[in-house]
Amino acid sequence: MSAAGEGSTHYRVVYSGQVRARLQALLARADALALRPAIAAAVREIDARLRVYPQFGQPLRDMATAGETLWIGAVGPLVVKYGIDDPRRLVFVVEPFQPLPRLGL
Amino acid sequence: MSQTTLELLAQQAAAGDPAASAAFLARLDAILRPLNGAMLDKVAWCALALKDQRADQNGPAQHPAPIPATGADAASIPSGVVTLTPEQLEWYRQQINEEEVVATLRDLRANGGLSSEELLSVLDDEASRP
Repeated sequence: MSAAGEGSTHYRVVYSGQVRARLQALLARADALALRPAIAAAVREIDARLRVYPQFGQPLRDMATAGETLWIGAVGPLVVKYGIDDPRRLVFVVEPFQPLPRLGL
Repeated sequence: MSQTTLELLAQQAAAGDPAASAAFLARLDAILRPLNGAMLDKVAWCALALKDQRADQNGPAQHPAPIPATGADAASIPSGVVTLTPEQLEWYRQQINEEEVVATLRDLRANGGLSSEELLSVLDDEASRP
């Protein structure tokens, strides 16, 4: 994993393997609808925002068993769900990116 | 008039004047105080983005520029940060499988996962495909 962000105020974003696998599938589907550039731009913007200011999203739910909050961020046309470990400046993306509804993806 | 004063204070603070820095922050605090949470978030985002931009100019870390959407449907798809409505939030809330989320969180904490660079490389791989 990258050490980017250590020693700075940036967050380090950690993605599950499932996020990557599903993103590949999503890009393949987006190809057919000419939405690949929009998806790619959203992924890049989400990643940049998570690294700089993950609180750009909205708290979604307190995870009772983990004592953490699950956040949701929407950068059109995608939605991302994640947890923030503020003291360690870490962001965990726990679920694959989801397209906003009604895009046909 | 007050804008000019604030700009002057900012310039003096940037030049390293501690008194100007203190005065600038005090003025800024008074200006920001009436703003609501959403606006304060935007101000914070702007400041952090500027800081990030500066770090990019001084170091190797890069934030790729967004790719403009193209294609017939591009104009109709949403872009930029979208604030979800309470109804949408509730819809996404209902989709959560807490057990799975907690297990994934534990796994990522214990074993790590993919970095930003590793994830974004998928976009490059895909983009280079014929």
